[in-house]
Amino acid sequence: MLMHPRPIILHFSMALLVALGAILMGLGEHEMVLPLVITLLAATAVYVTDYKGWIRLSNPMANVAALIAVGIAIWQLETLDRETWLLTISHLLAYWQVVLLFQEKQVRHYWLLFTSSLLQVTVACALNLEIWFGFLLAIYYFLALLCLLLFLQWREQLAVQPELQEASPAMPQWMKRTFSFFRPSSNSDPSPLWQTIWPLARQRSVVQGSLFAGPHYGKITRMVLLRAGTFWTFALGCALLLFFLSPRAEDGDWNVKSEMAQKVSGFNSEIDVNTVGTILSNPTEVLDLRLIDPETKESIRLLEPPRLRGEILTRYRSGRWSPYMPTDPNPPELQHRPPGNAKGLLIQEIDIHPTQDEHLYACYPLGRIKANRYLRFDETQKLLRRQENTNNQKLQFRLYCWGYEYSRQPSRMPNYRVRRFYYDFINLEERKLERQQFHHLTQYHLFQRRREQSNSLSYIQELTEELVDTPLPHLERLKSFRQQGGNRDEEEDQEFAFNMYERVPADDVETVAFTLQSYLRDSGEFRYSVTTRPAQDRNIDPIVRFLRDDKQGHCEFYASALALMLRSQGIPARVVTGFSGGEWNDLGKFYKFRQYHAHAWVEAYIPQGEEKPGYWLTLDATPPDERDLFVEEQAIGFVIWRQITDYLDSVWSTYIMGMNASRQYQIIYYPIRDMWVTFQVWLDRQPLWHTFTEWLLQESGSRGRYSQIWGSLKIGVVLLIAVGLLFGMFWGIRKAYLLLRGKKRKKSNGTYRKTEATLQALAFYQQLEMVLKRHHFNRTTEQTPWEFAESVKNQLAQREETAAVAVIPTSIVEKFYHVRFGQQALIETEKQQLQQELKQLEISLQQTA
Amino acid sequence: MKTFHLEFGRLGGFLLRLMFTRAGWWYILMIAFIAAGAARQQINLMILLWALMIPPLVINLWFSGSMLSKIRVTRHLPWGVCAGDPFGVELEVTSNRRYFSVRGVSIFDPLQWEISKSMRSLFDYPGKHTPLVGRVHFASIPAHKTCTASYRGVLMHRGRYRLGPMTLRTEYPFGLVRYRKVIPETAELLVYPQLGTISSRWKELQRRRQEELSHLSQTRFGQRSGEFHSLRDYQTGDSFQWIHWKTSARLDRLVVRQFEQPHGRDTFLLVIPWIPENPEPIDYAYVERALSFTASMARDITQQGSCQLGLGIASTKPEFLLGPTSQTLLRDIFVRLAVAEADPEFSLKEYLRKYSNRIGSNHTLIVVTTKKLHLPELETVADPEDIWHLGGLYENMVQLIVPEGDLDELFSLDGRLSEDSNALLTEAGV
Repeated sequence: MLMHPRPIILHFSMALLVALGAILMGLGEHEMVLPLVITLLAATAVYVTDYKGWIRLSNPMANVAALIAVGIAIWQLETLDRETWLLTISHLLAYWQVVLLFQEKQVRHYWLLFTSSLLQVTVACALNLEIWFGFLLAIYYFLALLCLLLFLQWREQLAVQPELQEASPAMPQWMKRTFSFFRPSSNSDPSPLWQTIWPLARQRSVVQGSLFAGPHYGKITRMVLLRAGTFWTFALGCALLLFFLSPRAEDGDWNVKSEMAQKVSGFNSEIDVNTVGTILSNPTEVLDLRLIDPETKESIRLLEPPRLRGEILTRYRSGRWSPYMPTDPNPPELQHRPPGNAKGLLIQEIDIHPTQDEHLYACYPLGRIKANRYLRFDETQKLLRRQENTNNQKLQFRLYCWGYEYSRQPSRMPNYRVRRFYYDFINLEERKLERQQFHHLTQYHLFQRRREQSNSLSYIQELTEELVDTPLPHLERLKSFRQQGGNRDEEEDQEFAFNMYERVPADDVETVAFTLQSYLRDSGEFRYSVTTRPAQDRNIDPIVRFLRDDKQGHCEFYASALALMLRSQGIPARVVTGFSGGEWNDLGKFYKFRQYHAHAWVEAYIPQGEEKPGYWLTLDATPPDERDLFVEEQAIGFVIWRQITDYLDSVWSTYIMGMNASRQYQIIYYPIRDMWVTFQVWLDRQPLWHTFTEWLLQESGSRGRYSQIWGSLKIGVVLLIAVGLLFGMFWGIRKAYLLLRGKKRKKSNGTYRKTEATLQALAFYQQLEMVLKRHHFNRTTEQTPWEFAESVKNQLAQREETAAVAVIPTSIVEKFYHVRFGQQALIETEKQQLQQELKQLEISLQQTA
Repeated sequence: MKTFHLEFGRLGGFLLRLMFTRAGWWYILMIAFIAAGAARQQINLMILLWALMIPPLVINLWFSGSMLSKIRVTRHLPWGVCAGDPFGVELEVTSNRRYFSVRGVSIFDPLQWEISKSMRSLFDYPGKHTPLVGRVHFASIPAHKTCTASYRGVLMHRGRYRLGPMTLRTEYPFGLVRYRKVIPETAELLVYPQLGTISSRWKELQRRRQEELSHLSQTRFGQRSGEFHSLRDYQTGDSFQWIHWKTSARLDRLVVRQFEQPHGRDTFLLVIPWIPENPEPIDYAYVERALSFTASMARDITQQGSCQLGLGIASTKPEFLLGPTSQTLLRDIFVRLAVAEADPEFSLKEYLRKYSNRIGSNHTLIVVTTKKLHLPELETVADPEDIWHLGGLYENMVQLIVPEGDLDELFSLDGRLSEDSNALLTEAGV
């Protein structure tokens, strides 16, 4: 059986394209089993179907398989929501691709594979968010261009050499019988008489094309890769330009649409101090925070690690914290704006991944810049929330935050409206009620339990009282710290009216709070650890165990202990969960928060008498050094690598995923406008330009209309410069190309197109011409080699002595044509035969002469 | 396929030659689908995908549109070819571009059989509805270089084939956009009748007839063979001593004696490609067989050489050729036979009246006809002075009537092709 060369490279490239398309789909689906199976099947199909030809699905079998695939897809259709539909379509495309891969490939099969893979990627685009998707998409793009290049080459080759199309695999006998009624009955009538008389009458005239190409045509060579790479680079550049310039709708939210986004674990609205350890070991990305100075537009790095509040927890029961206040089921969209004279005003730009619930993390106090229909503000909890049904979506939002003077985050959160600029979430009528609630809650949660479990929480009461009553060495340290802080705050007070630190007497509740914080954080008695020992006695409260027995735990133990200790002294306190720290990215000038940055701290309510509203003092009892060490240990990879990947991820999120109308204005249209304005100003300052325009106006007699044509002139000059630049660029590229081309030619030494096989065939043909020339057979200029050989053949055939060798010239020319135009190399036996024929011809002609 | 219809100046012409391939239309459809999805769902990644799909189309438009400029194509083809024999047409492409290579250019050279209308309507020959197109694909033509490639073929039907106009086409690099350029240059290729094999039976019959004629000649003139053979018309270079004055005076033209016995006997082949008013396919088949036999006879006689050979075609467009055997004459004969048309109307009497005096009386007149002839009365055809001459022709005439099977034993014409043709047909998948 004649084996034709199969386009195995094209098969391989197409299979790779299909596999990569499936992987892209898998990235969106967060399920890599099907992509891996498809990759495996694609590799198998290349070997067993395309290379070896062992398994080939005939068309009826492929149709049956495709129907089965439809059935499987329908069976997998569990619900009828949009995401499931998308995934079902994507899966169905994948199944069909497998069927196509195991078929004998014809032109339409390649197109179907290409198109279905592209559709699959289109579906994946609706599901993906990650930068890795972007990288893989770029690779996929290169591969797609390469496939198109190879595919065109194969089609052209096939058009002129149809024999390259392999014969269809034989249909099994049973299938032949089954489907025989579809085929027209064969005409078994004998040939009529006239066809016997004129045998060629029913023969089809044929014309066989040829291919002029090098021996590596249709293969992946360095040049093909280079060419595809050039196209890829150019196309990618154009595509990005097009992407950025394509106008987005003004009110559109291009940044948030993504179905089936990844689930990010994190704190729930209820936390259990015994189970948070796994969360703290998780390096999954949560959010990016960029703090921007609204005046300079520069990113700000705080002197201390920023804290992002997420949830406020007030109720404590047996190691479990939960928010006491019920969540408003339909809270309004965030409408609050910062006070007009707020100081330390910053813009916080947050890019947050999907979360398990409606939590959103941000720096407080906050206010909105512009309406965002994906955000809302829970008035009862005083917290920022996602709108419903957006948990699975990545969000980007910009908010104001203030009080961030001297690059420090405020440690006191206002609760009541003070003077004219304090931001208040609760109206005045609710103040008293809230105070009562706090008091009541504190009493209820602490002392009620104390009555019920006197053996447990009474220890906290006793310990706290001892700490407050008896000055301890760590208390002295605290006092020292307070002394320093006092000095600092005195200076701040002159500038910032809302800082009330110094108004609190040193021996009031704030001192108590700092004392307790210092005991847990600075005494050295407690050690930071994310692992907890199993409880020996389940009746003992975990916090009591932490304070009395274990003396080690993570941030929630510290925060819980501090909150309970504060409450034991009648100071309302609550646990706040969120993120603290973050990795500062020097390249992108932003903070990257991961799961292991999750943190819990305490806010203690510090009253200021009956007339003035109190405030919430931020206290963090967790030893900072030990926690920082732990966080550093959790970080994976080198810092530089993390910074680069985080930066790229941020760019991807900001400029690709989050590209919307306002960002377009920000990064494209406004800079262009600014450049134009700057250019205009610069141009106006140039004396030469003034002289030129004066002359021009004078010559044209348009002095009176100077201002009218002024703009047109400038535009004209700019266009002139732009055109000049374009020409310059073109000239440069052309010169570079010529330079490269010149080098290449020099290197190839003038034998660029002639292959070894062609040279051999040419040598034989030249020998033939020389032999014939010696015996006065000269080729005229208008004769092709074939015509010349034909004429020689006729002349030789007329002589009896040379009749035997008459066919040799045509035979040699035919071989020459095969090699020269058909790119078929001579095999060794053919070379020997040609040599013998030439000798035989020479001898015969000599004898005749 | 749709094209842009912007017909203004060169740009209009340029766009008119630019069209999307079927794959290109599908590609555009997908772009539209993705754009609609992206705008509807406001998904930036889909916008990115849409943006990624645009540049290949633009690159294809740009490259295809610029690829065919400054290209010159020259066609080299043989004078003619016998039906069923392979032939090759060489296409020479020269790129006059200064810098960049031309890539992915296909040249289409259609071959159109100029068949008579009556024949076309009569029967379905293979390829009637699918025109023959010679195609050569050049993967790359470097700047300032000439590349040559050829297409080959086998044409099964005699006649005149018009080649061209050639179409240059490129879809480089992605096959989404096609740009075409037509080179209005045409050429002609003649396909001669299929050559068959004259059987040994014919040669035997000829030998016997030769002997009979020689005997008759000896008894009539009493001369030995080899001294005087026959009379023939004077030709430039003949000696005056050979002129037969008596006959010349009677005929009013110079007639010379031929003394030497030629190797082969002078032959005049007269074909009468007659068909009835309402022909059937078999009538055309008879004509083709008659023409093939005539061509094969001419080839054999030319190979023997050293004699006079003539061809006559008695139809409404009568043909007459006569001369010493040579390749040139043979080619002329083949050309006449290639374009000979079957004809329901002919007049043998008219033909003989016009050309009989130019045929030597010693010629063997082989009449190959598709209709049984009733030879016209000598008196009605020739002048009284020429009656003897025509009588001589009648005497040396062999009439072969194709429908009556006269050629069946003498000539074989089978459907088996040469090895080259078969190889070509196999490659072409026929």
